[in-house]
Amino acid sequence: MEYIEFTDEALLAQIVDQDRLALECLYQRYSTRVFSLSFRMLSDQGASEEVTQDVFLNVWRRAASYKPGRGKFTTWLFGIAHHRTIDELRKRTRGKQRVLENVDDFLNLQSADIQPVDAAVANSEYATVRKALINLPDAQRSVIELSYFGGFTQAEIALKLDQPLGTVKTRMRLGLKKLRVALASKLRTPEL
Amino acid sequence: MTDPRNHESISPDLAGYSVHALDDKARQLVEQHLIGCKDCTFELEELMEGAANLAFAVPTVSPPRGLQDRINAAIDADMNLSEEHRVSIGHSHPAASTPDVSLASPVRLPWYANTRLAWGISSGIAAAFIALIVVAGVAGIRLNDRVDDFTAQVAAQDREIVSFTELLTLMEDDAKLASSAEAQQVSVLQKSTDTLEQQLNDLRWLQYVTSVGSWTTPSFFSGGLQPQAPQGVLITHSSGDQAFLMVNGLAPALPGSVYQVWLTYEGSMVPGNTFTVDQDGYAVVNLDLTGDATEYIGVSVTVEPLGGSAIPSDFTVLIGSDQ
Repeated sequence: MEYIEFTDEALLAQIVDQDRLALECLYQRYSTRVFSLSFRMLSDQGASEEVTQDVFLNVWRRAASYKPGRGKFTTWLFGIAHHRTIDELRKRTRGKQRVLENVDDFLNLQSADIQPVDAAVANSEYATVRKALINLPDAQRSVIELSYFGGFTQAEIALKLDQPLGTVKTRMRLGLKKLRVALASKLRTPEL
Repeated sequence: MTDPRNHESISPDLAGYSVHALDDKARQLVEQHLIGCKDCTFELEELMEGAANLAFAVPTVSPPRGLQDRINAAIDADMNLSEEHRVSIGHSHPAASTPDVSLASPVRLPWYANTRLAWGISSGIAAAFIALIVVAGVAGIRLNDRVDDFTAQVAAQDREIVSFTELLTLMEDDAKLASSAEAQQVSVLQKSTDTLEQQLNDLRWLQYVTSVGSWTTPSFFSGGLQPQAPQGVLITHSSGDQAFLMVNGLAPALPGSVYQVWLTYEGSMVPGNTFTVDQDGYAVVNLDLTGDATEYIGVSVTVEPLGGSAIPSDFTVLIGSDQ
């Protein structure tokens, strides 16, 4: 059986046994996504490369800590990627006044250097998630995007939007739950 | 203050936790609460799944082709370090020698993967520096920051003691000719110096743990749902007689409970010491071993009632095995 036919979880089990080819297979599947997320948030190619490198080193070192019963592999992987990127973002902005950016900007970035087949799949996923985001109430979408892509804490968002902290918490919670329901089973299992 | 046992006060923060949008205090309260609340753990998993979808909401940009080579090189270096550790404690590790990844181009190694930096220097202060690098490479940035902080404190206090000592010498000389009031001042300064020396000794103890060549850190531990949540490093002595567990990022144990270390020997869980953490979730635990430290096959940390338990509870907060 070729590695390309393995599920993410099966590859991760191979990585626990220090199988380098399994890691390379996961890298082929998800490095573009990890790099793209970090690049969108940091707007810095070098830093995004460092983040992507750290994320896959973490996968290599910590594969055994993934618990299949606690969610999908992609949830675990993008959780690591997002957290690492947030750390980098906050390190850069520590002590500085941050402005609320136009959160729709991320929709307009240009893709580059991507294979046509992957691009088609990626664009399809992108469109699917974007549609789910657009279907959220504006207030819920706004707090989610500001926190996830902008790296703002809930308290910062409440202050800057002049809304009660409890309102921000509630909107974020409702929005994330709706996203989960709307996108359940709609995103590909990219490798199979 | 929010009580971490209060479900109603904690659950509204789960969404913020799932997207890393809480300040440190709120994050710690959530992590403390999650240890004992299955409902919140389940809801958090759902919220994290919702959040992970957002990674697909950005246009794709491919990473540079050389990045995979760099990762491979870093892993090579990682495994070389691991191999050298094992040699130092008398173990072999066949898996560490299997990879055969050629590098297509010159690569930029991460700082912790540079074996020349990590092993090419061999004496004095350099040895301490090497060990700090090794600890940091294995344990991640938080423990690295912690060790760096302590090293900086040691250096600062060293300088302070030197200047105090110089001042003291001058004043002692003067005191021979001085009034009793000045002599009393010298006595106060002497006490201050003693206190500083004691503090410095405490710090040196920590540095000793992380800097002596025959100590090694073969295992990395992690726990919690947050990818960068609690961390730990097991530090064992090559003699097998002693081992320490250094943890960071653990929430304070709930009232009436403590953390307890467990070591696994051939399938049996051996209870270790109980411990608590400071306000930053940090602790260094002497494992008080009953066997050879180099023979362990796994270590974990659980939450137990005060006084500890003979059998581990289900509330495991850190888990790791020899890698």
